[in-house]
Amino acid sequence: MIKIKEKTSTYIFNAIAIITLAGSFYIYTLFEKISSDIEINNLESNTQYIDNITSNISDSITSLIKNDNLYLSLKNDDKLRQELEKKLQLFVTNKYRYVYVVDKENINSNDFRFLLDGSKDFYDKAEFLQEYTPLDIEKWNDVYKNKKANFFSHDDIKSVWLSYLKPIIINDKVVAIIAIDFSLQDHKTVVKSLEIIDDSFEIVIGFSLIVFFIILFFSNIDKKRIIQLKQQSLKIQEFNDTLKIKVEKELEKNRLKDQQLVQQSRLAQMGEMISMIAHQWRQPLAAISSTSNAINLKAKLNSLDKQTTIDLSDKITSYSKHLSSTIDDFREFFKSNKEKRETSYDDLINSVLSIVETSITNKNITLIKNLQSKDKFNTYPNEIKQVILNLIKNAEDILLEKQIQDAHIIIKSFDNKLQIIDNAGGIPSDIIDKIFDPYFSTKTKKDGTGLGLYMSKTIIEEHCNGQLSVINKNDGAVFTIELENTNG
Amino acid sequence: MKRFFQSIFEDNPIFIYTDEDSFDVLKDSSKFHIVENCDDSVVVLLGKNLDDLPYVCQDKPIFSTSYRYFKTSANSFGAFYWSKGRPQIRFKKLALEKFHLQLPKNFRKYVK
Repeated sequence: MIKIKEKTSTYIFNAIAIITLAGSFYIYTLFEKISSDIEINNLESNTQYIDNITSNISDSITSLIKNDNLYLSLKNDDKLRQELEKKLQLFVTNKYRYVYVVDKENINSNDFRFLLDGSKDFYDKAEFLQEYTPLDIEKWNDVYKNKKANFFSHDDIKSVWLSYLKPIIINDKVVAIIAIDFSLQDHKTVVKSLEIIDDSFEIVIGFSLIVFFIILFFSNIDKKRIIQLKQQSLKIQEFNDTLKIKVEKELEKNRLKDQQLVQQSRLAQMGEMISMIAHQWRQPLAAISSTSNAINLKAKLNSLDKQTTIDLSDKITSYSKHLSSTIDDFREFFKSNKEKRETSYDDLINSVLSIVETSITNKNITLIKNLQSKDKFNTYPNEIKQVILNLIKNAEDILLEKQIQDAHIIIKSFDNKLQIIDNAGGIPSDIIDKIFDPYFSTKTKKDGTGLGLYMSKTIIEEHCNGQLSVINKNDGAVFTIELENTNG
Repeated sequence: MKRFFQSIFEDNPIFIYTDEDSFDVLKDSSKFHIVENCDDSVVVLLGKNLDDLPYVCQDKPIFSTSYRYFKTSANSFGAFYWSKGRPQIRFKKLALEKFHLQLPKNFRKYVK
């Protein structure tokens, strides 16, 4: 989904960039055309207006002269000349600077002469027949030759002034040229404004191009990043697959190892159980043996009467029942419960002690019970009993290992806590944090699997929602079982 | 203007009388010398102060900046002036001959 979004965003950015660029170019091209049209139309409008003026002047002149020869008409009629020059003066403004009429004495020469001049300036006003040499002589000659109006800008004052030349034609013959020099300032202002807009458009286009390339650049980087991400993702996927296989293999190995250790632990527990059964059985067996010997002796002495036989055989039966009962107790103890049952710390402790008490006391270890918790609660009794048994047996082992004088194990219950306290000197501080780790043992390999305390902690904390902790206190270790909700 | 005068007049420096300060540019050249007295001049460079021209200048070759003066004065051998915003240059054949002045080739087309 993220990949799709990333791809979509890249496409959107690219599309925006292309649309922006294409749009800018389209608008720019459109503007260029409009701009060109405005410029041409503006110039055409100006020249059209001038053409109208010069046509009017031409009509005035031709209507006022008395014969077909303009030169002679003007030469011979000063009043007419003055009248026509006054007419020309009417057109002279800041925009239409020079308005005048020239002709050629000889059609083949390049020399022009003034016939009429609309100038008001004394120093600039040309005299009648004053010689005149225009700069762009070919263009002036073209007007004579082609009998058509022409306009051009001055080379020396480029693009500010324009000369418009209109031929005066009489009898299909060019007799003179009406010349108007007019300012293009208005036109230039329009062109200048268009150029400013054009420059702005160019900046926008340039900016669009930069934006386009920036987006293209980042899009490319993004594309590469996505490809890299894909490659990395594939690598991670491959690595995960490999790791999964490896983990599964290792887990299988550990499971087998655990099975072996659990099996080993079970064997050890069975050995202990047999040892404990042996302790439990020793007294009844001795009693049976003693009763049997008594029967044997009485039989040899012929003093075994019927009643005595019945009494002694009842005793043996009783002892045998006790032995059987002991086996049932052990079987029940090691049977795992799937459902919680109501119990109390005292019940649990008494049940454990019924199995181990004889074994422990026979080893000169004093068992001190200080039971003050009478509350009943629901839990898995056999699981807790195995933990208690494990803690008591550990205490017994360390007391025997260290050959502690006046060895004792205190079993204390109060509130929701149960404590197993010994006087074996405590756990060294460098290993006290590790004793609940799996496979950690201070016992020799033969005696310890390293799973006892680990499994005890797992039972209390994960199965029974409690806590199993240890501290050193006075001259020994204090293991505390704390069940969170003893009433639950 | 400098080259034009240099090509016409052989004197070095050329003594010039003028009525206009605008021609002071000629002062900067070692080949020209603006004189105060028209009598000391070789040529007169006439501006717009046509009426103020001293009488002694009447016989000197005059280069004018006025078409009217050029047309009316027999001693005005040439003129440079502006007409309708266009530069105009003209020379008078009779005056050139009178003062034995020889124009460079490129100026001869302006002689009338």
